[in-house]
Amino acid sequence: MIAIVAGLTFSVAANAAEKFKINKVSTTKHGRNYGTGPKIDYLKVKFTGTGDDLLLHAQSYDIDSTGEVTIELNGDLIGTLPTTADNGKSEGTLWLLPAGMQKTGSNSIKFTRVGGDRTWGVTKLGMFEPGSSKTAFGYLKAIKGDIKHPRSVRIYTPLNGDQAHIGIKFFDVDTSNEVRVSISGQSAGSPAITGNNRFGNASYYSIPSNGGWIEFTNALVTGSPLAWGVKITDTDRAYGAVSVGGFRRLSSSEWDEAAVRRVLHTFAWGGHPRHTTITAWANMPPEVAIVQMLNFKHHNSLLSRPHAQDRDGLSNQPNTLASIRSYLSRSSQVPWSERFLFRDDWAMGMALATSTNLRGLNPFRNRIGIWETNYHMATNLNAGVEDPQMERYYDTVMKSLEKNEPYQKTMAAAAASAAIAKQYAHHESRYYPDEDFCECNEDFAREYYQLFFGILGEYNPEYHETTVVKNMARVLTGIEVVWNNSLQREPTVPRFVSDYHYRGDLDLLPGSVSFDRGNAKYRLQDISDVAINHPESLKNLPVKIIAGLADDNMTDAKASVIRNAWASMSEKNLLDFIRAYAISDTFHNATRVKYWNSFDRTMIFNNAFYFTNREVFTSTWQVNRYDDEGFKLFEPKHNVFGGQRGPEAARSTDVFRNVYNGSSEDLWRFTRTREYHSGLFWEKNWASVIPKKNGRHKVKDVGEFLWNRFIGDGLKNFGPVERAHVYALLGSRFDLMQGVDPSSLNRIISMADMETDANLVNYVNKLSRQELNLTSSSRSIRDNANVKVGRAVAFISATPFALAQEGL
Amino acid sequence: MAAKTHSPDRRDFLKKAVATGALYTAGGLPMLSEIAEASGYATPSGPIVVNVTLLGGPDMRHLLPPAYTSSTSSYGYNFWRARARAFGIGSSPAAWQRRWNDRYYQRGSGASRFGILKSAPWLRDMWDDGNVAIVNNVIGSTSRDHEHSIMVMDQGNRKTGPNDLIRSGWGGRLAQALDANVVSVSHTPRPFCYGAHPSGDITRIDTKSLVGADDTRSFSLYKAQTSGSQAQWDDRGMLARTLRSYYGGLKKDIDPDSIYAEFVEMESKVRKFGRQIDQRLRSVSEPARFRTLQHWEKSPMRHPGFGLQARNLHDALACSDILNMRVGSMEMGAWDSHEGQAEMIEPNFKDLFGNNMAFDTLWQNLPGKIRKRVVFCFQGEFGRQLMANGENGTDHGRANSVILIGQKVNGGIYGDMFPEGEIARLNRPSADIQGLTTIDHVYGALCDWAQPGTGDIVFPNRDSSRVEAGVRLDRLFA
Repeated sequence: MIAIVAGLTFSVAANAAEKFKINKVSTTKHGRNYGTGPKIDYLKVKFTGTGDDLLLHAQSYDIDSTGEVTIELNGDLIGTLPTTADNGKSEGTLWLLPAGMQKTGSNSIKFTRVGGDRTWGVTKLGMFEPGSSKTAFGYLKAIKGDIKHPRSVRIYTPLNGDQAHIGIKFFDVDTSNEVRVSISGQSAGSPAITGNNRFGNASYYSIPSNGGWIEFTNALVTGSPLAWGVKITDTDRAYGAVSVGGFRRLSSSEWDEAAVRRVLHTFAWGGHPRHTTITAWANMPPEVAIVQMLNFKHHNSLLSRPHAQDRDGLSNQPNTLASIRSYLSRSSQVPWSERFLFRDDWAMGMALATSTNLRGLNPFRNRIGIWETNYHMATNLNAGVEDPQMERYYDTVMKSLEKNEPYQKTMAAAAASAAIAKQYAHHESRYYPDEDFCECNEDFAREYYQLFFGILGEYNPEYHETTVVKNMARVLTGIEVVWNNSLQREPTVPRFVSDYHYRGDLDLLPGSVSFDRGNAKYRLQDISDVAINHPESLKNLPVKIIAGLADDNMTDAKASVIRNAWASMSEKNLLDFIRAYAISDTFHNATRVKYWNSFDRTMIFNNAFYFTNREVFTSTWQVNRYDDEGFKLFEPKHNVFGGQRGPEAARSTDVFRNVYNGSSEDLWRFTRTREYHSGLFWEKNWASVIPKKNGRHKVKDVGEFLWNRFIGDGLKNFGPVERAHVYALLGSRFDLMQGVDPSSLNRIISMADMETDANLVNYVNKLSRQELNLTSSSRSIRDNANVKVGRAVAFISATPFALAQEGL
Repeated sequence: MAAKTHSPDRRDFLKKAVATGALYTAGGLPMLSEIAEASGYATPSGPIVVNVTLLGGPDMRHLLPPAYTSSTSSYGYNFWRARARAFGIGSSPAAWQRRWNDRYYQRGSGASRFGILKSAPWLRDMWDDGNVAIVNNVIGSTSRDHEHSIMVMDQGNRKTGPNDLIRSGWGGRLAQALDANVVSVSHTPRPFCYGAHPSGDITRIDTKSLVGADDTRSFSLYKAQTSGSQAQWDDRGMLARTLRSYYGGLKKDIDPDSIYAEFVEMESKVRKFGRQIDQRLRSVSEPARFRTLQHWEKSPMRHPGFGLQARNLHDALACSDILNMRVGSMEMGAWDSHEGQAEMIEPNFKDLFGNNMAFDTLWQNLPGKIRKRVVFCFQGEFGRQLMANGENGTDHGRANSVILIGQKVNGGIYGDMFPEGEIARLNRPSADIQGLTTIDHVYGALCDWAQPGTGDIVFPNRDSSRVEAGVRLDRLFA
């Protein structure tokens, strides 16, 4: 049977009557000589992944030795049931199921008895979501929670899994010796006292890879259970950022809210965190905060907090491009007149852009995915790549990243895609051994090294040209993307055939030979493993990554630090690298400049401006305004060399004019207060995001909030003149010039005026103390206040500071 | 093979023009220049250099191939044999000859015979008028990497490394040397347009001399549509007024070294030029043909966006006094012809040089006073390999030809167009055109034409770089 609850689906092969629910355990017993069900030697449980980490819960019965019963996730061994006394039961145990090990769609957990006597059992099966209030274990009677773990809670990483990290909130810890933490048997101290019947602040722990475990034990319990427990607030694959050498990590004093916002603007287009979350991140050690901020999970509820008004369930929707498009094209939350957009081939980029602005997903994931597929490893819908191939390409790259594979495997997966084969036209490349003739071209043979890995062949141009590129062209034979009549389109995955593939060994980069592996796919994997460690790649690729994502003013000094950090990773891991960089003084650096391209700027604005998904759904054309500036996702301006770059946008009169006129001529975008669209209604409510201070929305506070929200510079550039204009727009019906002197509407106001014109200064000071009635019960007063905020936002978004980011 | 330097006598060209029926210039509309003369076009204050970047590595040998000859030892024979696939034709000499006869205007004589693709009649006409210089064997980057090679070409610096992203461009430096502006008519300005930073720090750029004119007919910033007592109720006008005041204040206050100063400068330029350009263009109507060329659905061009660029260039030249324009920048992509080269690049050449296409239309609509002061430079980041690949295309090479067009150009062939030594290499994998003349000399000569002495300023390494033996680039311009 199959039951679907909140996006998770369970079915039990052996017990058709069983029903499972998310964040709960089932008391049904499975096994042999255990419970009343059928006698079985294996049990298969299915569930539908959400794209996020999950925790499997199980309790074993009569397991005589380690390894007697194995646990597999989709065929990958993740652990074994704990041993017990004869006819005894273990404590309920948890296993982390990383998102990257799950499949999109149906997944299976299989318990198999592989040894010992025939009696065995498993019960208390459940699947828990980290972060859920139900994912708390211990003796939580006071809060009506779990009471089945009175002594201890243990969590394992998968046997073939990476190091994992978890956030834990302890419950009702009364003394410093009450609860002990051990990691794979080694003491890891005790948590802080929390106070009675309450959870404390989150603590963070690392669990070793490959079946490592963490255990929380109540050391004081002897007879009757004592109140205590742990809530698992977050899981993440790694705090790998801290282990990347070469970068100097910011100290806690340097890591402040401005630093957090810089990271968010650059790597997540600001995201949708609550302002309290930003404060919390700023108060954490940077290496802890960055793990919460940046990850490749499908959903990051801290970075992209779902809005209470949204009922779209996106936070449970798999965050693949295919899934999001399907959702957007069918959901009743999207105006019916707009749904077609997300079905149409030409609007695939629009779907991805829209999802970047939707709450409940993960803007960092989109940020990196878009950079990979539109810049670093760009393919182009206008160059022969078909829409389904592009969609598959994006999801293939993201799948590899979320699996935390070594970076070269991501590039190998991309290289083996139909999209790349079509883009570079080697899908028809064939080698004819009888004639020793290669019907092929050198395009991707060269660009695979140059664009993907940064190897230009400077080490020996002649050899690179006449041997490596030529032979690589032969590697890329027998990759077929042939029209499929039954599909009525080309396939999204190439067919790797031996027939027309070059079947000999080939010399490639000096010292490396690509041995015949039967087809191109396996050879690409081998070749990537070599290329990633080539000196030219070590020199160029990390600089290319950082320059592409975050720094338009790369200097030799910064490049040197970046290269050292990259080189220090024995296995190149993109997420670790980005995290380490994002909390380093190489990123938070006065020489760093990031010019926003049209897409960056639009996404940053949208993420700050739209607070509900409904607003996004009903504003599709506004959300995608970057299109007016010639930017199109999956149709990069420079073809395989990527889309519009920040420095290009910065020097484009057209872009500047669009920004400027967009804030004045198109002011309505900022000031509309409600919309009724195809049966869907929203009302702009700035009060829902702007916090009150002392119970009021004062102009000064609102102005500073808006500046930080949209510009994210810690108010560095919110100087007296900027404040004067913003305060005027927030605090009055008029602009600053009219407010000061209606006869001088065209007055230019500079710093000198703010220092010498007492009348002006007094006026601005008075405005700063005005209050905005954003929470008035009167709709017209409320609307009026929201319109004023909209005008201020329009002004802020047309200042120079909305067009680029300084590094410090 | 071809003469090292062949500068055809201008009188010969006039004779040839009469013989071929090309009585005047491209488009065959001699009276248009007089019509234009009478309108509101500015008189350029000096020579204007317009750089046209063809992105992807344009195969100039496809545009200008050698004559087919039946002698199996000749360059012409071996070229067509090695390149047959790239032309999309069979492997028989008859097919090669047919293609040569059918698709090319044949020019030159003897070993210097070459063809001009028939989809490029404007180029033919300009050649026949003695207005085209074909400079051969020109080398920029040696890496065969698009990005790096484009950087080298934009920056005009052969020493530029692959990570040297932020450097000045030779167009920007030329504009600075001329105390004028470089006007970019493409959607985003190429790095070619970036000027050198006044501090002398080569890792910084300066864009004060750069004017982006990607849509000359919508150049202005929005301004309040109301005045007087109505103004206070005009929300849009209020925002426009606020921004105007704010940017005006910033212009006084901002640190010139701030990264944001560039945007303040841009606002100032757009505001300054906008009204004057609007006013000027009211007296220079938009040629109707441009409206068709830039139309995304009706355009006969593969690249309607280039039609818009040509229109922008027309307008910018009409406003050259307002813009203080002495350098222009255009770009066209889609030249990376690894597969199906003929189908890919022949339409591109047609977009550029076809009848009533971009440059023909532009030329027809420019008055004589501008025509005689503008030179177009067509170049890409590198050339292609000598031999076609297995997919009817050509792969990356290094050296290429640069084409200069203008009435002040001393038309002819500069450098050996089809070097004898290539015959032995025509069928060799990876072999490409040997670079004998560096870009410094070619672009430097163009700078010197714009204003004597600027070549050494813009290309300070010119003296130490090489030029093909016997080639006199100092004779490129009249």
